Amino acid sequence: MPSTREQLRRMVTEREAPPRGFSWDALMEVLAQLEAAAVSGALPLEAEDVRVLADLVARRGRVPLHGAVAVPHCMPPEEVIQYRALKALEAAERLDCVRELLPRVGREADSPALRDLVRQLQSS
Amino acid sequence: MHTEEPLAVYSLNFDRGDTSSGAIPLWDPVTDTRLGALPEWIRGHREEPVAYVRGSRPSVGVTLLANHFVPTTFDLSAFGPGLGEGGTVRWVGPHPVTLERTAGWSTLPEPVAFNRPLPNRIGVHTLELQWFAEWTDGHGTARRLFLGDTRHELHTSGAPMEHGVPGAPPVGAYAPLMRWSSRWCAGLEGRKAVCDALLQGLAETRLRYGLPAWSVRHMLLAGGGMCGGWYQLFQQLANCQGVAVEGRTLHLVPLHDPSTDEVRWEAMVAAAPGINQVEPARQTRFLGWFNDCARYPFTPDEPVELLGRQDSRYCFFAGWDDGHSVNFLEDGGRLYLYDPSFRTQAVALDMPMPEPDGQPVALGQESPLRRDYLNQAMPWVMGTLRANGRLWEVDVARGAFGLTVRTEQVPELGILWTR
Repeated sequence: MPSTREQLRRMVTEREAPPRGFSWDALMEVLAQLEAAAVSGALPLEAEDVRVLADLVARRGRVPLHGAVAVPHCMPPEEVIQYRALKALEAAERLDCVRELLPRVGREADSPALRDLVRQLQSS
Repeated sequence: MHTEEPLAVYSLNFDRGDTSSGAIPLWDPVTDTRLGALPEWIRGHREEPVAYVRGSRPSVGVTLLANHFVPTTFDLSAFGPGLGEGGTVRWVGPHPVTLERTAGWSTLPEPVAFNRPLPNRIGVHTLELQWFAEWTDGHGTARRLFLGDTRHELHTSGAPMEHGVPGAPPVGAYAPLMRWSSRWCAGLEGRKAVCDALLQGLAETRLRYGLPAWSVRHMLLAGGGMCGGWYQLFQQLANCQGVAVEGRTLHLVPLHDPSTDEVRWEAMVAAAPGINQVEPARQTRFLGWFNDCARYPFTPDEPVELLGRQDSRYCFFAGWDDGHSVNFLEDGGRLYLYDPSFRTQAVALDMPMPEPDGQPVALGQESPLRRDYLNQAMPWVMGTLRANGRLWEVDVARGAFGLTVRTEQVPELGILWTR
């Protein structure tokens, strides 16, 4: 069975999401791994991973999910996904992939934290 | 419209979408449109609230409806109560009017300014006006024609608000917020007094904590929201009175010990149901078996009494993904924390305003934030810990809540702040 990371890559390249959707916890784990890898700088993110992160931002964090979805207290789940994808892209120094999406993300965000992050990224 | 009336006030428009109107734009959260996009008062059809900064002198766009022969020139006046001064006063006019037509609608070319300012205090006022046309006929006799009553729900705020606050309408405020804010803060002076009144009034909104909504408009429609919505609601309520409060989200920083696989800590845990709830909300609570430790700290080899219980609690998980959002006010050289989700009293804190820089901070047991707020608001922290010969893991999807220890017993707690 393909890993969540592979399923995400396939969702971007073949526009095919897993039939049952993603597990929220697995999705968060992949985003944490990508961010940790980018922060450590041990291995640059592969181009496919960068495309996955950019795609998550482009699709406004809306991905099919199954099972119990945690309800974050401080921002909507879709914005958690965008927040984490942007943090990973920032750490990987690949914000160029989403630069033109940032104004829209900042405009549409309900969460002050995501708006603040976008503001910082736009001025960086 | 009574057909027998030869001439009547048909509509009145206060917020005309320009700064010269002086009105605070109010918005309908259902349609997300400005109430002033249409006249706020339309005879027999519409009666919407209007708002001004206290002491303002309003002006109003007037449309008259003529049914048959009326004088083409007259003076327009409106009389009403003095709003605190007693008696009846002339709020409008005499304002010279020349009708373009004597049958049908005539909108006066310029807004008509009120003669006097509104009360110089925060409050809600009912202004009932009686409108008259006055002229002198061809025989030199003074004539007076009653043009109808109008009734206005008028809000006066404490100070000019900041427009375009994120999450709020582009200008002005959602009407329910202005209504609540000006009523709860009526007659008050001072930023702290305003914020205290707002916090204590929140229960009247009947909005509930723990519903999955994170923006003010969504909360107003859904009937409640998460702390990420509540702190924005509180900010916007204060902004209605021209008081700026800061919003901050408190995140827990987890520390993983690879030698033991323990994680300190994975979540802050609250058992209070939140505002306008009698028990934690079904949509967002965690229901299951919690292992509360009788004491902490302890070593993995020490026996620890576990006070296990079936309970429903809120879990605020560590990391960027989750956190608890609150408000801060700086006033008179002091910092006050306002937690609209869980508290009805401000908490004075002997600390500077936290920077929303995302940098980890270690809080000792005597830190003011923990001592005066966090230990009570989040009475437990949840971790993956070793105790009584086994590893108690946190896996909420499987209903495993690790071990929960009293926040006040934790020697050091890692947190960070975002906006």
